[in-house]
Amino acid sequence: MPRSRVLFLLILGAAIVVVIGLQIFRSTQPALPTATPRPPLEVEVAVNPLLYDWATEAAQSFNARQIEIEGQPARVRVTSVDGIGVIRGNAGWSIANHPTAWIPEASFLISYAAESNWRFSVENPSLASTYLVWGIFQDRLDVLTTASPTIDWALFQQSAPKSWSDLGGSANWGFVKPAFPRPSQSLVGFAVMLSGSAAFHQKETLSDADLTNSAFQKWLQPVVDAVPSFATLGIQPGSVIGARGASVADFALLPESEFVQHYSAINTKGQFRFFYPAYTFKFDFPVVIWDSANLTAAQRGAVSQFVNALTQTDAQQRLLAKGFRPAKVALTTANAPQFGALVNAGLTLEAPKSLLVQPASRSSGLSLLTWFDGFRSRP
Amino acid sequence: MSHRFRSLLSMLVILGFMFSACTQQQSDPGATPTLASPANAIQVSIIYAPESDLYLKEAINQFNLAYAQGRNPLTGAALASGERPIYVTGKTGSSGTVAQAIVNAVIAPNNANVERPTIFAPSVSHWLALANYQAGRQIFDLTNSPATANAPVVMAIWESRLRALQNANPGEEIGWSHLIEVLNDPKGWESYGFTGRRTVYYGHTDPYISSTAISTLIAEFYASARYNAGFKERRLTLTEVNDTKVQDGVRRIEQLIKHYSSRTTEFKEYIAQGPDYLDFVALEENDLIYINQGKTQYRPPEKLVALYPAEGTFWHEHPFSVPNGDWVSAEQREAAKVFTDYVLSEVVQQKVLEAGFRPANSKVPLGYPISTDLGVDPNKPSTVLDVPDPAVIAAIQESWSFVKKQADVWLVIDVSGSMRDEDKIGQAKQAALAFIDALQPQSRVGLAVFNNEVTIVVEMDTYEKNKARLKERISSLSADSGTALYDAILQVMAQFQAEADSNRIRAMVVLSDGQDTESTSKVRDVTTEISKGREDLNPVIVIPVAYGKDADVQSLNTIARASATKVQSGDPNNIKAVLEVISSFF
Repeated sequence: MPRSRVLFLLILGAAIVVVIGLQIFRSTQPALPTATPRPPLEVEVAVNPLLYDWATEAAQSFNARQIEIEGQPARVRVTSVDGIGVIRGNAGWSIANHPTAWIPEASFLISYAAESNWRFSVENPSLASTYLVWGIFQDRLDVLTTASPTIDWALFQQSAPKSWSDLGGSANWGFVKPAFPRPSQSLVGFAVMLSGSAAFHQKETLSDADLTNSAFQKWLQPVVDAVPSFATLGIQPGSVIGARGASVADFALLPESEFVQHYSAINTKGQFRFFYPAYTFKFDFPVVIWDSANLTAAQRGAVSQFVNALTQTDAQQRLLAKGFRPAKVALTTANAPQFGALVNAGLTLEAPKSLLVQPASRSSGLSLLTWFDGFRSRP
Repeated sequence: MSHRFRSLLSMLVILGFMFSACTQQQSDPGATPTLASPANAIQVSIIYAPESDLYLKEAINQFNLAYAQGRNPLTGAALASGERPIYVTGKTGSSGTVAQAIVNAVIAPNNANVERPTIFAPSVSHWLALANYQAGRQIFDLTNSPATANAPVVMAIWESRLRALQNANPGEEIGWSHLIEVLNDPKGWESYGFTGRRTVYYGHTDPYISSTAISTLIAEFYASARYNAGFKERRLTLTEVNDTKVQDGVRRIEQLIKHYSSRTTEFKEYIAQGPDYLDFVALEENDLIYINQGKTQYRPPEKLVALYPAEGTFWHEHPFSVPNGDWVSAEQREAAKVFTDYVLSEVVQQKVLEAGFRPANSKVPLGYPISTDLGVDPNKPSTVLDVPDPAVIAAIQESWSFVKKQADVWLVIDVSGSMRDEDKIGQAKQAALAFIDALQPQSRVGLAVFNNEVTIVVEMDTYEKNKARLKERISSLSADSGTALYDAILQVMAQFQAEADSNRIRAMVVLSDGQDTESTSKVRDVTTEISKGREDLNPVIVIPVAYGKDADVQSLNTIARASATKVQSGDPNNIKAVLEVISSFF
């Protein structure tokens, strides 16, 4: 046998011995004692879609800090729930199955939810706020204001069933196209109907009769009918208008925050203007913890710590960037340039002078939604 | 290299392998990633429209890669303790076919066509509404099905044609009404300054399968209702769809069809051959960009431009929708949202734009290739058509069988001796049988074969009358002798010409595996005969299929060019699929 082959076999044999030896050594070694980490203390915070992205980012930062509560690292899991889902009982919540805490769109939802015998304690009355505001492309506004200088519900309601050529505008714009999210699936859309009801009845505190009033529903009908496709608009019509321009909507009634987030895109599609309705809706984003015997002090503590993080300046500053009015940080053109850019177009840094709509009872709200479903079943 | 050195090198390699086998270190993040599913991953499956493959395939890979490397794909941060990775598997599927398969999964789970994805991403949300309507329940939540890529449906039209329409209608935005005027004008294109062919050639896909087709057919009903029935409302109802005047109008528009297809893939290739083939075709804007970027086999002889109909069009928004089916768990639903958010991230949306779609994330500004250089207008469309009620969309879809242009089809099969090789004749018979099965029942069909002579095996007649006879005769075909390809085409052309033009698609599908050895006529005679009818409203379309490696591709190409079609290539392994695609043309 040549020397090189002998050498090869020797080295190969040695290598096999070393590898087998290593494996045997490993398998016979007792496992090193390691400290078993305690499982995280997880709390679920259900957040409305408007604040979902912000809360998710905040939860990631919070979880990364590994804050310990009673020796367990606190971990926040953010889930998205629309207030309409809670009102209609579609969120899947029950006494036995519910999130630890909830950040609804608006305070009135807490009393609506309490009608299901659920009890909450308010952890924070308001993390931020934003108001419904009309946004409209300037060229459409120019056409509408030849008929009426007052830009509000009456004007939009009258123009909704018409084509732009009927109104003196370009035939290429087709029919008048309002935009807001589907009320039966989005609290923003429901708030739009409340604002409409207040405008129809000329009062901010709505009664049950106001919402179920057939004259009001008939008045609202052409506006609801004129939305080309609620499926197209989704839950963030501002984003859709930013992407597709006036082809999908001539004007919209949406929270200020949504316009601020998408304004730079919307403005590339055409100059855009804002008008607060005389009766607007304020989204105030409270935080509540579920009062439940199953809730431990540690879980309650974890939520408190998380809410505390949400009210810190850095988290509140991030709200500014998303177009909200933070509870703890003043809104100025200096600290909120995104918002400030819209001031010349009609947004106001101070709270709008509009009257704030106060909804009626949950049952009348549900009646209004039932009317909507019956009238507008198509997407 | 010395023998000793080679031995030492071999040993080092072996040792290296062995060493790596007994170490369990993490792989280098820069190395080729392993994209197998992590053991504890949440599985998310997605079926998406074929055009989305341009960006989604890569997005899925990058998403899975991030988790494989222990990163959150959205934030880039390391996975938190206890955070489970997500693993996405994707595949493409025609929107209509998959929508039906998901409906089946809910209401007819034993059906052969069943799909159970975590996410369904059709081209347009019409399918989600139709699925809910057909299932009688809310399989899809349309409001919570976010758009992920936008593309308006446009008419891809030759720039010279659009300019002629604009010159004839100064100051007006061109729409369906103007196209209908060309169709109604006895002089056709001649009135717009074009010499040669007067008639209008148009094409679209199958509205049971294709999103572009269903959107286009709805637009045709809108156009016909306005033009023929004085409709002035914003939204179609069943009253208009069932109005015979409206249906007749749609039928007249459909008469312009040169042929259909199940997929836009064929139309992209066909229209790229030039104005001789089609005047305009309904496409998504991204398809038009694709053609003008020179990505098709043929370079268009002039620029194709997007006509955004003045009456409005539809946006195809490529929604991501999670079915309300028992096969989707709560954690998969949450994982689907994470993937959706990833697809909507600016990084992926930039890729969406590069693929010719308009980003759904408004933070990604429009830019190249959404450019007039590539025939599209970033400022259009000006308006949209209202999406009708699902019952109306379903009625429009159902109407297609009686408003569509019907077809007369000759199947012409080479039965020369060479077809015995590799059992080509056996596979061709199977493919022909499948072709017959796939034809629309309103079609008329005949069968001819050729070797050294041409035989009309089954005369052209209705599908109903001929189907059984055709299948019987096809099954008994055998191969021998030479090849009289040119004579066969001419003889079948004569059959077409002997019949009155009943305003139907007239097509000949010719399957041939070799060179012509027996014809008395020449290829030039064939092209001359084809060219004689090219100005007709319903020219005879010859679709050659080059079957096997010995087919005379050059001659078949010459014939295809004369007929403004394209040679389809097949072999015994794929001939069935090739003929099935061709059957969707009718």
